[in-house]
Amino acid sequence: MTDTQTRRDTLALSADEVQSRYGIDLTTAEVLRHALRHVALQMQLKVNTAALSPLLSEVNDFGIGLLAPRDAERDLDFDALAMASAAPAHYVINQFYARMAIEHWGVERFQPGDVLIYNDPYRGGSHVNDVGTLMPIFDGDDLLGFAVAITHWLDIGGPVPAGLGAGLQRDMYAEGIKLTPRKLYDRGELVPENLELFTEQTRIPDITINDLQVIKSALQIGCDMVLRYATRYGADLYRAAAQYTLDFSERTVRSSLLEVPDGVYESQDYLDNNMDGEPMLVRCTVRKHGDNIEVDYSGSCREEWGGYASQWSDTVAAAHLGVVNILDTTAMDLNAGAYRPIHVVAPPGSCLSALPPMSTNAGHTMFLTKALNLVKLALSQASPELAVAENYDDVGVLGFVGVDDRAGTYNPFITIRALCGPFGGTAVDDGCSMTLVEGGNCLEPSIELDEEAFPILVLSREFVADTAGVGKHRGGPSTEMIVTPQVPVHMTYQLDQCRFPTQGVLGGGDGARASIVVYRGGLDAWARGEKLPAAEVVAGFANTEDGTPASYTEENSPGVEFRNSKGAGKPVMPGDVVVLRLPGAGGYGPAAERDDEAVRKDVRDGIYSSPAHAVGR
Amino acid sequence: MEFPQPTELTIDEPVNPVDQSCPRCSADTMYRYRLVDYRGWLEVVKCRSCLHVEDRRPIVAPPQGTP
Repeated sequence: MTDTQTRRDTLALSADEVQSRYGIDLTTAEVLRHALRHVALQMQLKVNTAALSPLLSEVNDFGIGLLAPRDAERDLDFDALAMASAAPAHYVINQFYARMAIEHWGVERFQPGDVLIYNDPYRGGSHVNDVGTLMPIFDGDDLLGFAVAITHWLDIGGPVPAGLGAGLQRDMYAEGIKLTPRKLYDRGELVPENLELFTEQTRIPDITINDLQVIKSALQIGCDMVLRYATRYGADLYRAAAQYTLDFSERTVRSSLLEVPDGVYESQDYLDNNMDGEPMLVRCTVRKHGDNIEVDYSGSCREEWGGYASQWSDTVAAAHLGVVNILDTTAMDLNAGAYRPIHVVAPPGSCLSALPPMSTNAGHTMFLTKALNLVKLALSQASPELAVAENYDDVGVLGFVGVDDRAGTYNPFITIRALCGPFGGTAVDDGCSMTLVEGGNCLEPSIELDEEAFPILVLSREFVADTAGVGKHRGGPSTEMIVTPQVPVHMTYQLDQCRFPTQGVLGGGDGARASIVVYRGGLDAWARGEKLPAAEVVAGFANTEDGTPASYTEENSPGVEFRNSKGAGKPVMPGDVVVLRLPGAGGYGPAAERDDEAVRKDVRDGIYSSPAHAVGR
Repeated sequence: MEFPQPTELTIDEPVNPVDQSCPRCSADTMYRYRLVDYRGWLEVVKCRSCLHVEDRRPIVAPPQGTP
């Protein structure tokens, strides 16, 4: 029997304890605990199969599931009860976003068939592109909770197509439409004037008409399935199962926290730049005692104009996910109960807890990921077994907007790709080479899908040698993607670690820096395998005079500048070649301790160009 | 509701000592400050040694609740 099994045995309640504490037999409680997750997954599947936006059908950039009933005796208050597997940051934020919308609207005003819609980040949300929706679950007159969703809208209006426009949206008034909670459906009937807010004020009216109805259908599935269980087992047992489910997750996290050494652990990092090109400091102090933990972001820099700030709910989501991602939470359901042991200090006015009128549209992805990684880096000091080197952060976004007129018709398009990247080495193994950050947990759509749907060609996508942070367990390597548009486009990009590399731990090496460059008119030369024309740096270190790449070691040299690693509206023409390189991830432990066979495989696989590179010599 | 950008370059949560020792671990001082738990914003009196929460009061989430 493993230690984990032993711990599981001690945290599991006996059948008698479950019956006396919750008023439900253990078997029914477990059936319903799993059934709730099944309901959420069915809701997610509906969105995947019917939505037109690739962010919903392919990428999984949404969070969907169920809120519990309100029942003071059972300590239930519309808590996030069961969420599907997509975009964990969204299902964490549902706990705040949806509950604040319910409070704003007034719980007594709901009627069967209503659907509320809202996207005000300053009411518990993340950024304006994340549209919240919820539907009450009525069993007769008895409100059994809500079906809820947060879905990333491909465009929400405003001056920057697709929304992510770091530096271009000075304040929240430049972000697009922003809705306080209102009805999208009134007792099952579509409210046309609220639908028209989307069809008239965003760049994706055709997608919107379909996808808003898809989301309503997915919420309806959640309501219908809950009612089936409530009918079969009774509403009282449903409430009992909700309480049991939340408590089960709480016990799991508290049990795991007991294995983390008590102490105070600190970490810090920098975002590459603010709107003016200055680095932004982010700090984290983790206090851990017994089965409680507090994550404190005091000492982080102030909020900055142009989207260089995020919402407190994003930061709380990041802290929650940072903690649970470093714990052994096998078989744990991530619901509100899991987050009861975690307190988060998010100083208002900091870059991690914006106040109006700061824009948080672009900052949502930047700081969510930074804040999550800071928790992991801080807890890395708690014990070598928990340590993990830094992964790529910011979600990593590359997008293009333009008009596809190749067939003689006028077809505006927006395509956004959230980029998978490398993770840091751990006590157990090398870092993963390519997956999305934990807060997103999204999928990248297939390259062929993008090429079929949009006038974009991906010429190459490969790992880059000698970019992985060295170590006993190395980090994952950089990935380089080479893209060319087939019509004139404007490029949206969000990277980080173009200036400050990923951090190794316990003697491991840092990863290589990221960058974006454009070879103007370089496509023909690329196709012929010839030398490309001079590169123009979009993101990274550049020679000021001609924009060609410079080394980070020359950062403080005259004539060298850092070009911001986030932006939008960069013109790219057909025949131009865009080369985006993600950072490499950090290594774990001294490279001198790396196993000889692992070094041989590294060189064979092209991760390093020689054994000497693999051990940092 | 709008707020000016802070003039300080880094932001700390104000943490005010309370003249009370921790009833759980006997630490000399407890502190009053704001934090977010799984249900939202609180003002707490809390021990920063053993993380015991002596008092908690729900507050309106900033910015709605920020003076």
